[in-house]
Amino acid sequence: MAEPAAEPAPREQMGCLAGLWLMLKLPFMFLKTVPYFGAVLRHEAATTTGERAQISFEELTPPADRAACAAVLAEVRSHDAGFDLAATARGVVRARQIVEQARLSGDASPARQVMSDGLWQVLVMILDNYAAQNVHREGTSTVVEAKVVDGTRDSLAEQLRLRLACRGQRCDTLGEQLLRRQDGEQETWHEDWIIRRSAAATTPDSGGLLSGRCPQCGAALEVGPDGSCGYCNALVLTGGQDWVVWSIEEESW
Amino acid sequence: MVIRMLQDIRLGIGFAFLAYIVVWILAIVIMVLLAAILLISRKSPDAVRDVFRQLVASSSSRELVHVTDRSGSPRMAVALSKLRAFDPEFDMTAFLDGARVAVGAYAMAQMGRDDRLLRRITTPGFWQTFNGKMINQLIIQRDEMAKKNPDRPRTTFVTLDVSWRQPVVQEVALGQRGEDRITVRLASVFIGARMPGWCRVDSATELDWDFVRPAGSRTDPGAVLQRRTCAKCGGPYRSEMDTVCGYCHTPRADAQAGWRLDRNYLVVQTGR
Repeated sequence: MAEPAAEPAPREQMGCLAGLWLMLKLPFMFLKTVPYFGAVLRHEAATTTGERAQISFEELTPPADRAACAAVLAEVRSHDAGFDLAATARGVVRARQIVEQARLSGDASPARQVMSDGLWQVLVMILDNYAAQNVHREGTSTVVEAKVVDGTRDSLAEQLRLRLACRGQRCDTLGEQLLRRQDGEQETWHEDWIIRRSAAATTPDSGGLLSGRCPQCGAALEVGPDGSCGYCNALVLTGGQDWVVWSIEEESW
Repeated sequence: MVIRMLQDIRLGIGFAFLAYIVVWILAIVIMVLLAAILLISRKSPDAVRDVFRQLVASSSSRELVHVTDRSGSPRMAVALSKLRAFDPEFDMTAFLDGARVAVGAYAMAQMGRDDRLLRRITTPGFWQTFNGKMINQLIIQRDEMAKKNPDRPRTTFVTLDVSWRQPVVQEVALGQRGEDRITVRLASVFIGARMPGWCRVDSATELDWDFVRPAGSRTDPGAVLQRRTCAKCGGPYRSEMDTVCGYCHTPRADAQAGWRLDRNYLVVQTGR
């Protein structure tokens, strides 16, 4: 039996008319951009793009002079006898695992207990954006080395930059489409994790936030919705009492 | 008479066609000019690009663009210690953390996704600035587009990462025109992928961000963090973007310890 004849395609006719209409409008649409010319120029002058952006802004900050770095660590130790660099580095590696898990699952909640409040809010925005655009993070990686490459201390705060060498592989996908991929099975890649705390803060006996303990009462950390410890209600994510992950900088991938 | 009328119509059509051709020529000139600007800005050697930057910087209003050669402000350290002396609870770590949230909220609004958080943390004056008006325009366009084409895919651009590098306090001005003002400079790095082919799009833009609070304010250490539950009924907010409680509709309290984003400026670096 013969297939019924296909209906004439009104959509195509409309498409043709729409194309003509678009051609008619097109030069006027271009002219509409004239008032924004100044804004485009200014934005271009203030923006670095492509490889230049990768070289100028996405490369990791060069390590500080070793002596300067050692001097900052000595200063930290001088006012905080309990400071243990190896334990702090282990805490940062643990924090990375937690944040990585949050990225894989698309749920930022577990990462709240190790990140500064602002950084965590930004992670929430990024993961919301991923969910809205159906982008997923896949893969696993481990840290094979962690070392302090820079440190600063002033009257208000002290900050350490830990460079983590990571191995494994990870990728961002949109459905079946691969958006970016980092394959570090053979060679490592590096990430800088910057931790920060008030200049007056000292290492808690319990080990503190990076070890999963409240810096105030020492209880296993359960951060309430207002950013306080579930047991003693101390605000623990401001960096006022203990190290928090303050910034994460990755090499371009 | 009919012939005369036909001749007039033909003449009219001829003029309209000529005018249309002129419009096309103007449009093509504009497009070529834009392409040339992008080419100079993105593909030319650093020296040429620097000339371009200097030209733009010298012809732009200081209300829109800050020009810098990366030197710091010596007055800043003095003003900062004055601020600490008056407001001992002021915490630079928490302040810069809040600044980062403001920048994130601005980025979200600029991408046309959500402007609710930005509206909560800005002064009314921000919306009178060039960038504030631009955000307003983008949101209006987004809403119009959504009305016209509700089924259309929202974007052909995917944001993979956003980060903020090298935050530096540039300026601290206390008590001027009834407010305290802190200017923070940072580079916003966007990593994205764009159709067709989802090729990588990376960009970094430097901006100065002005945060203000009424002069004489002091930091409430309990209000440094962004609350995630309603202070009235205890109900959790569903999103960082929520401006009112979803249960009792009470407006969400101010965050950032009283500091609000007042304006931002593009920063044009010259001489590098």
